[in-house]
Amino acid sequence: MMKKANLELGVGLFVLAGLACLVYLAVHLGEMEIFGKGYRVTADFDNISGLKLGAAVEVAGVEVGRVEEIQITPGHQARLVLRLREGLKIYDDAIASIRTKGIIGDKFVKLSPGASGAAIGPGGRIRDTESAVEWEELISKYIHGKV
Amino acid sequence: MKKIVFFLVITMLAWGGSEAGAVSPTEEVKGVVDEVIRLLKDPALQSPGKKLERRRLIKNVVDRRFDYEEMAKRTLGVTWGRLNRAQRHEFVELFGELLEATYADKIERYHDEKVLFIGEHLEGDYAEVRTVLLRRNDKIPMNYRLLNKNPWMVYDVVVEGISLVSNYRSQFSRVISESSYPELVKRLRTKVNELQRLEKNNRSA
Repeated sequence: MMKKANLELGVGLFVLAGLACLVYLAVHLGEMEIFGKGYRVTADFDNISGLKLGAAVEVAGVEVGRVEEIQITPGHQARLVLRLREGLKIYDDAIASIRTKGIIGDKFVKLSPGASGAAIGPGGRIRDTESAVEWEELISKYIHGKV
Repeated sequence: MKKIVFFLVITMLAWGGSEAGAVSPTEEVKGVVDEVIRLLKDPALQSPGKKLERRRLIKNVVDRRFDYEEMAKRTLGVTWGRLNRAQRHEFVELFGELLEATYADKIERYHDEKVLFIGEHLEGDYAEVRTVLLRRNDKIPMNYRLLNKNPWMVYDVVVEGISLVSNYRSQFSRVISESSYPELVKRLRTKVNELQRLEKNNRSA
């Protein structure tokens, strides 16, 4: 009787360990941030042109965070919530721009951290933003000539 | 009694001060735009001989509401903090000249475009004024970003979603990281001279 209970306990623990491994894999392979390290800031854009949830935030080409939430403001702007790496300092003259990797690549947020001295803390807002540039429109203007 | 009078005077002064400074960002931008358009349309300034005179007048109007120092500071970023006063002054001058040489020509090609004011977004000491430049067959969104320095001063212009400060910031930081700050100043100087020479040739041609 005692032996059977031990066996069942063992199986149970084994299954739990297996599940834990699965969760670990899912979180890491999916690059999800469940525990949310780092801090959040927001930024409003006129147009994010198909930027996806989870898109990268880059400073000098280095990934320093991700887009955690995309909302729409009452004034019909796109509000992004960015989660930035702990220790990354950005200032209130920072500029966030929506850019494309290559010509048809993914959209990401390019961050220029600024240097004004007044830091943007957790929950702060990046005031200056640049919307997505519609490459196709610019190119077609260039190809077909401007009227 | 004295105290009360003193208090009253101070309150009135403060009130008067804020009243005087209560020109909205949109009005500030509108003032500049209207004045520039008026100068461009002025029949007395149309002849080719008056071109320099007209440019000087336009520059005066723009200079009053464009904060070149703030722009220079924002474009240089960290490097700005390392410059001494003389260097800062030199850079602001140079940056102003660069902007003039780059944009004056574009402004002077004015042909009855209209500027529509769509709205403004206020947040503390910062504001964004949204306008659209109406060409005959084209609409160009132009947003002005202002900082309240009593009066409101423009520190960035966003044309078709592209910010002037952001553009120069990434170019400047590239030059500085590839070589050095003196090299950037040298390049800017060359660029300004080149643009001014082109302009001169055009004028004499």
